[in-house]
Amino acid sequence: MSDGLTRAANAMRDGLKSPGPEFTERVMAEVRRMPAPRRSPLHWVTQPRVVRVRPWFIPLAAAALLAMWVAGSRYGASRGMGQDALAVAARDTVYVRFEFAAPTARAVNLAGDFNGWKPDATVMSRGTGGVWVATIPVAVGVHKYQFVVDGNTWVPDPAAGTTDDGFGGRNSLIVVGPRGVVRS
Amino acid sequence: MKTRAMILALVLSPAMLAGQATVAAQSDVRAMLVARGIAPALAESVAVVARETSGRGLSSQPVVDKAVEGWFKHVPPPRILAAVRDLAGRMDQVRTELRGAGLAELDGSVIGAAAESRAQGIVRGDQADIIRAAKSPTAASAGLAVSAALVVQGLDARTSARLVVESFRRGRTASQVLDLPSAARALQMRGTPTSEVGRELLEGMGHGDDGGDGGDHSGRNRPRAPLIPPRVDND
Repeated sequence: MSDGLTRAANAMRDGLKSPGPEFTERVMAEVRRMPAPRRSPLHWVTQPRVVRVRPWFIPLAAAALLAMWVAGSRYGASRGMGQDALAVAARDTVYVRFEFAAPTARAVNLAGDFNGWKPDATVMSRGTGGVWVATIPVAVGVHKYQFVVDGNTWVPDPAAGTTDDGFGGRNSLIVVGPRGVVRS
Repeated sequence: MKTRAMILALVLSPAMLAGQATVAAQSDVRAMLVARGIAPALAESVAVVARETSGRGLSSQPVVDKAVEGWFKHVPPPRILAAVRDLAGRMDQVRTELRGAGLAELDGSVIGAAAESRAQGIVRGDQADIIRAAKSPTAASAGLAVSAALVVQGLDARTSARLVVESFRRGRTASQVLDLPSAARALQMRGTPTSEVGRELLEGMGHGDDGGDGGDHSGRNRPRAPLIPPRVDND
């Protein structure tokens, strides 16, 4: 059986004619005439390849990344990120005494841009005649603030000028200079 | 091929880093707001506004501060969002106007202060004069804020701006300019009509004085007696 198959296969192979070199030349000429296939612009990016990184490239890349990081940090700083835009005009700090008359209040707090508007950051003490008092260090500059009565009522300082707070209320304005304080 | 790969890496790195920085900045703002107790949904919305503000080259800090202020005041979130968007829009508008006045490169804090002073009626030309007269962005911010404070005290906007500009032109520092409201208040308490306060202070500057207190042009460290004892406790 096996010998029969072998004989048949050999007979078929002998029957095949070699195409010869002219056939190969003709096919290749046809291939060369065909337009080159279009490649995606990302072809050489997506195409796998062996990349050899030379030793000098590593510190160069590290230096480039460090330079970009420093430049980014300085750009962010120059844009005022992390700064109190208006509040800090100088490094000086002045102790400022805030007073608010509220004889019937159970508690009065002070909230402003100098303490992040946290209602519980500055607790005022009840003084004589129902006048609530707090003395805190405030950076030299222009600041906005309000008093918080009984934890939920925000009231501007009657002794100070006010500006629109953007929410339908009024913020009191205080100018802390190196020589003194003005409640505008 | 290897060279092209290296060039591509160097070209793409800044873009990738910039994208990562933007996402990181937005996440930072959101995380910071949430850490301060603000509802995550509002924090997310404010972070988007802050990112847009930063993307326009403006400081996002005033936007963040305004959101925090509104939150602690129990303002409804939609109103907080409207307020921060309004603030961001005003800063953008003020910057455009100041660019039109020839001030192309402005610090973020200056633009924030200019937006505040605009709300008090300090017009573009006067703002530009203050910024040009100031020696630094810090001084410009302080000058703009002081001009707005003087308006709140009752002085007219033009006079307030002129007082600040003249102070800077006469060599006053930012800290010294912050004394202007104190000097104005002193005159008011002496009985000087508010309409005359600005004129008197300007005349005082003409004599090397900002209100009869022995003005000092040589530096801020020399002690100068105030016109009246201010309401201040220096412990």
